[in-house]
Amino acid sequence: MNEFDHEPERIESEETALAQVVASGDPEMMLAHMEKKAALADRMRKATEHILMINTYPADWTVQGDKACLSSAGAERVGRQFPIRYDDVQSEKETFTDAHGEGYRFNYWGYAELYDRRVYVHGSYSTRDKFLGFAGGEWRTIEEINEGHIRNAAYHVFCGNAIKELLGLRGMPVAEYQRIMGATGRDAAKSGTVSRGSGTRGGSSGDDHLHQKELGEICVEIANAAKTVERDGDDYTLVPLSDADDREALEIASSICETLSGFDGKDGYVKGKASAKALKGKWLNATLGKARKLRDELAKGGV
Amino acid sequence: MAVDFSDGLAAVLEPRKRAFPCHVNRISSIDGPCERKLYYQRVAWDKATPIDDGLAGVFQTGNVLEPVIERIVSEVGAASDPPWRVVGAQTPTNDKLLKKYQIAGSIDGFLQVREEATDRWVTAGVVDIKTSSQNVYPQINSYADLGKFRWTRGYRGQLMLYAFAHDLERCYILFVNKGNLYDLKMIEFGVDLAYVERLLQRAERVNDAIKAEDPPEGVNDPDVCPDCPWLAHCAPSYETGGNLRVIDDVELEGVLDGLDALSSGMKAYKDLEKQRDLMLTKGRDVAVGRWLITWKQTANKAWRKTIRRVT
Repeated sequence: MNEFDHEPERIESEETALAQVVASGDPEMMLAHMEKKAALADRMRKATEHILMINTYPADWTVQGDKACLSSAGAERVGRQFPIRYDDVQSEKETFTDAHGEGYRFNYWGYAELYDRRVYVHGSYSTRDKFLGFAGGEWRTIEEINEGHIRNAAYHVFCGNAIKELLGLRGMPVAEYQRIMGATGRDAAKSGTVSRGSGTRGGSSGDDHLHQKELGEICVEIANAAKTVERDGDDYTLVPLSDADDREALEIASSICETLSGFDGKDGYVKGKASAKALKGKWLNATLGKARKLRDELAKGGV
Repeated sequence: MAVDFSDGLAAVLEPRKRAFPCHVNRISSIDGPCERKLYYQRVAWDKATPIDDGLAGVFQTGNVLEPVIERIVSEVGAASDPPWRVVGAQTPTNDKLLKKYQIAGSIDGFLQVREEATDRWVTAGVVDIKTSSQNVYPQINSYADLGKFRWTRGYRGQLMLYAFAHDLERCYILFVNKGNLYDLKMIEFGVDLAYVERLLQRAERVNDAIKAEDPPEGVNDPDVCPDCPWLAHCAPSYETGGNLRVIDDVELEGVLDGLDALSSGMKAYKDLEKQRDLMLTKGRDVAVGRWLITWKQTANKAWRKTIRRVT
């Protein structure tokens, strides 16, 4: 039996590998190696699809625009089939006050590993997340919410994000999702639907939090795909990380955030922020718009 | 008219989920799988994820049934020959050695049997009444069977420590079938002092860890951690436990395809089945071609495979 999941090189870093072919080694051997990997990557994708079919239900998925998003519970069900290792997981409780009063969120961050791939992951949940924080048409006070539930939800969001990142289940195009679910004879139309920006929570700070979270996740996603972002005038492009770049994914994600949030102001260039949390309102939304474009490009396999 | 009682049910169960501070090593937990959990039970009792309505309901069912079971047990004991009874319910432990190790708990009672010769009640040992589901009940018939389930494993140390605390040598677990409260059985075993010693050492390590404010090593086990109320607080480094491999094995794929095409009554089918089983490793999940083979271990440690065609 040829097991291909212990291949020592990362499938997602073909650009890096190509650079190595040119720089050193036997190009023919490298090419053969890469071709084999490309073929095996397709089989891995199919196997993951099979496991998705068996372990998830339409209700585990939410369609947001042209993307289908898997819930953390669904992702964890899928993840249980694989040897996914969580490592160096840390957490913090962060308090805030917004238009609805006091609130808090739990943030989890750390690493997750599957076979030879290790990614940095973040997950958070707050009292302003609707499922636990909203009832009877209003936001619940912190006294009404059990802190253990918020902590637990944040941890499971972290685990779900890890699995989705490692198995490539983030932001699946709707057509692809419908094809996979359709193969099971189940009704993909039974998935939940969310209209982005429809104001599920009141107040701009609530929106900011959602957007900060999304921006942070996109930056990490780009970094985990062994890419960074370069600015050329008003254009932002994905570029492969160089071989010499030995920074941790989190550090790379910070620099991506800084690049994306920088802009030319009336008094010259305004340096961006290295953390999504430091961005608010229009600045945050403009940065997120650029990040979303790059995420879509990444999903299409751009650069 | 449809009646929705989910909110009402949640409201009734909510008070049963409340967590309380714990300053000792509880006898009922000390033989659990994870030392770090024992530590958190004491120093982070308020950081546990609250139990869900399902589990709260199971616990509450036990509480509601307790007086009913006690009455049944009393009737059955009185009608038996020789008669027996359970006395001293909820007696707290008061043993100097256990106090030294900060271990405490309270027993369901002492089992007493009427001695015909002297016409006196003689204490046979400590007894704890445990209810179990109709599925689990038939599977527990001996001391060894207590090792079959995660939650029954801890019963051994719990009973031994109760007996040790009261200077008794025998332990009794009175199992009650929740589906039929008149279906009872007694599991009897002696106190294993080496076992007790291990539990005392464990308590000491937890006490030392609390003093040093340094959590002891956890089990980091995919069979244990996901069910722990402190999972989110602990955030352990562990592996999810799945072992699925996507393999490239044309021969196995061919055998599975062949089986799919044949009827199960045919001789060729049986031959292929044998061939397939020789190619599989028990407990090792594989995805091969359009087939996914997963394994599950039963309570009897036997492996059961499921083969699904996924396209």
